[in-house]
Amino acid sequence: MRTFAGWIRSLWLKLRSRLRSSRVSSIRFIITWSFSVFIVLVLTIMAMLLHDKFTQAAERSAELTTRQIVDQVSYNLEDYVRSMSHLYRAIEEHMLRDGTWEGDQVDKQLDTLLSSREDIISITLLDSTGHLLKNRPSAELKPSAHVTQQGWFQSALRVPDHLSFSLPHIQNMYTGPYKWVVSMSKGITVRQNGQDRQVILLVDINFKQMDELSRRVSLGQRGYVYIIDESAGNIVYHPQQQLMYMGLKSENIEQALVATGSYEDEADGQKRLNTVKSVANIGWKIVGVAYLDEIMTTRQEVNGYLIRVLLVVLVLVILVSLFLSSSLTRPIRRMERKMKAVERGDFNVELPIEGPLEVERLSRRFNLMVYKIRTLMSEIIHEQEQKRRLELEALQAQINPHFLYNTLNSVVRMVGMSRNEEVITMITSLSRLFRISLSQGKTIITVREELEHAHHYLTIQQMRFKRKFNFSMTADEDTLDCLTLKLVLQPLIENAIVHGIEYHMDEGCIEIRVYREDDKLVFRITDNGVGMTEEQMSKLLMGSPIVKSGAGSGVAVRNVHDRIQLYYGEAYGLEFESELEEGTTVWIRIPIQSEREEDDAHDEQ
Amino acid sequence: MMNNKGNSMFTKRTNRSNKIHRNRTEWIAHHLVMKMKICTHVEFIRPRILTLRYTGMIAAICCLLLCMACGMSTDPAGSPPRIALITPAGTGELAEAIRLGAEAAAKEAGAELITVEAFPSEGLTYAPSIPDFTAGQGKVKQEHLQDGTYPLSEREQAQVDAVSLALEQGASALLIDPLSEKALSDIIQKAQTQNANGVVIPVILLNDEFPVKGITSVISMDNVEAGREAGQAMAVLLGGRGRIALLGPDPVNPVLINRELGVEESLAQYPDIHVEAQSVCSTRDACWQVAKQLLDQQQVDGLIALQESASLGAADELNRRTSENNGNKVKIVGFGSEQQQLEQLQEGRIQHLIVQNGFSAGYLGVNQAVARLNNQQVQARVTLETKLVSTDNMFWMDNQKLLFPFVQ
Repeated sequence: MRTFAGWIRSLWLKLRSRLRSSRVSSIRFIITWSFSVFIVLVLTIMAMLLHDKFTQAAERSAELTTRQIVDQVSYNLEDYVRSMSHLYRAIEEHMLRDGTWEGDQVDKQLDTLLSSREDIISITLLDSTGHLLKNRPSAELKPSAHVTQQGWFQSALRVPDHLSFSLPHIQNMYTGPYKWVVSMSKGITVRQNGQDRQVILLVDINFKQMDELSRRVSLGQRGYVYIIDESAGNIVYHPQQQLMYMGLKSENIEQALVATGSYEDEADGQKRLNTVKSVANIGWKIVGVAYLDEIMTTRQEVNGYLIRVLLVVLVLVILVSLFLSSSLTRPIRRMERKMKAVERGDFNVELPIEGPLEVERLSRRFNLMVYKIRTLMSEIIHEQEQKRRLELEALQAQINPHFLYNTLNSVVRMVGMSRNEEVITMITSLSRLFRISLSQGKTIITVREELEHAHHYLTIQQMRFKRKFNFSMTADEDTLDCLTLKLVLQPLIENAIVHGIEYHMDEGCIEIRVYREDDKLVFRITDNGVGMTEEQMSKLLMGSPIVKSGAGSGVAVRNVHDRIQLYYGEAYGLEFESELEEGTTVWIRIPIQSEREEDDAHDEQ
Repeated sequence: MMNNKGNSMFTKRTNRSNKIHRNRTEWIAHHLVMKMKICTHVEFIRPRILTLRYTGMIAAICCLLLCMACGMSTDPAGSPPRIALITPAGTGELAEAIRLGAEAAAKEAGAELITVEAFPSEGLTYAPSIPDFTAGQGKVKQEHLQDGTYPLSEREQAQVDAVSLALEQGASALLIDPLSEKALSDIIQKAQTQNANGVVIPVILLNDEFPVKGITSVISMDNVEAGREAGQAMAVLLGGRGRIALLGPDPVNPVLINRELGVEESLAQYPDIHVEAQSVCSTRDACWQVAKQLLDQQQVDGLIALQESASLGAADELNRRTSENNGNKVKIVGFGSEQQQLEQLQEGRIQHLIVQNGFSAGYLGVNQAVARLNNQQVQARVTLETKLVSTDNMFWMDNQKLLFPFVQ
């Protein structure tokens, strides 16, 4: 028992490791196969138990049936033998009552008896030398019959006063057709004329009746009964006795002789059930032979049937368990899909809360987790933005000392040249510039303010560059009150001046235009400077947002682009178009926002 | 079941508990479904009705399939093959023994035996059951006419007609003891043209050998060997010296030719035994006359009768002579086991009979037919044992069964 358990355990471990190593350890697979294996195992065990029980029952009932039939035959034979014994006694009575067998009276009675039973063939009375004393029907005894050598004669002499039955044999004492008979004979002592005389009374009965009794028996299709003589094992009756003499058939008579009840044997490779019963008073034994494959469904048949059923069940179980497992794992697979989406970066997923309890719980947890991730992400984004914004604001707030220094230098130079008007203009512009730059720490200002800021800057630069360029500013009326990030124009204008116009021979011209385009607000800055190559243009937006050095205001073009995208989204930003020696145009696109929306946006944040 | 399930599927929980309390005698399946439902309610917070319904459906289908599987029976056995035994025209005890043997084999093999008798006088009778035994006069061989043309005699025609009848009855194999070569070739032709399904109907010969093609199997005793046995027995009876006559040979019947050959072969070993004469005869009376002439004309110590009628005729003559006290020193060795022969044997008129086992001829014949029908190995020739029975041993236990095969 323990070893068996150990074996099962090791098998299980092996199987598990095999499953682990293979790619088929999905829940679906496990459910399907464990289900199937379990059910089939249970069914097989059931089938085996039932099969055993069934075959046992079948064997028992077959045995019982055979036994009943054999008993019936035996009873019939006994009955027949008994009635024949009675008949014999009656004949003996009538014949030898008065010690004489002569006379019409006796003849009449014997004839009556003869006619009453058609299976009596002859009645013969002999003396101990085999001499005929009387017979009915009267007929000549054949000398060639050698009466004294016949078995019935000798047994009558050997055991006097005992009725003996012979084996079936051919009666050859009288002329006429040879008939199979069973001879009843008895040695009788009669007193005749005061002397004891030994006579032998022989009554031959037709074997036909017994033959038919035995022949009529059917045990299955090919089963039969045969009769043997218990003393010597001679065959009394066998339906295929001819075959036995031919050597085509044989019966295991030794076994039948010693057996009581039933036993199984085998003949010509077929199992047979033999049932034995002794017939009283005559010393015979009936053996019923039934072929097992006829009287009961053989184990093979049952096995075949069970295997068929098992196969069908297996198919069904596999189908059902496939269905079950797929319906159980469907929510899990759905979960997997959602998780993949999360993997791809889509955090806006939600699992429906349904399915088996565990899956429901998992879905809840998952949703909760995704929600947490979402909030964390947005927090991080927010923080990052804050950080960037602070950085930018710091940047915005930083006025490049160079610019201030240059501007103040210019102012000093102007003062030295007593160009007071210009000095005033410049200082005023500078102070305005600063005021708008600071603008109470706000990042968002109106377009109007932004334009003003640009105007002041341009004014200062115009003075510094000794009116090397002109500029024009036009804005549509409906754009002035829109909101914009501050300091988007100034770096670009600076770019235009420093890179486009400063090294230009002709008089520069900077045109700034603000207008609506669909749902966007557009600032267009056009100059007629030296222009840029494609390469330069592409570098513009790739550089560091913070310019490390140089004479600029400190806010680089890239910085502007980043800020717009950070604040308004990917759809907005800068666009350049430039041709060498012709000039450059920059478009700044931002969404149209009025004051109120700005407040809403702030609330959201 | 489905409905039940479906109904319970949608009952509310309160209903359910009420139902169980209200009606405890609901049938088991319902209870089970209930239990399942409750369980599912514990398990699933929101049971997936669809899934359960499908499961129910699948369960139903399973039950159906299972029932079908269980209902599958083994292949129904086809109807048993019919084997026809064409009994020889004029039944004797040998023919009866053949029939018994054939029946025994048919019962064993699960085949059906039909016997068709050929009696030219009464037309054709189909005898499915055992007919009352009537001891006939024994078979009488039709002799050939000398002019080469061979019109079928009434009896041969009757036999051929019997074959047709058997084939109409749906016989799938024929066991036959043909009267002549001509009859046999007609029969074989019939059997081969008969095959409507393209199945050749096997023809199995009993007791005779004719050189005709198309025979499935021949069940016969070895007539040469039987002749040898007869010659040997006669030689022993005569103590190795004497004069012998052969009674009833036939120069055209292969059976009798072979017996004659065997006799001559065995007697060749005894230089002091001479075969004096050969007397052709074919009926009991004719043979009696022939024997009478023979014994009147010359001194003969032994008669070997090659056929039943010859041995009976010879015995009749000896009986006549005995009753006239002409002495009876002539020994007879004969062939056959008809009742009258056996009576003569018991009386010592006939010393020896060469007996063949008709029962085994019928038995082995049917066996061969069944083997052919089942596409198994068929023996082209089955040789039957013969037995030499004498006055002394004819009533020995095993000889009784051989000589008197049936109980009447």
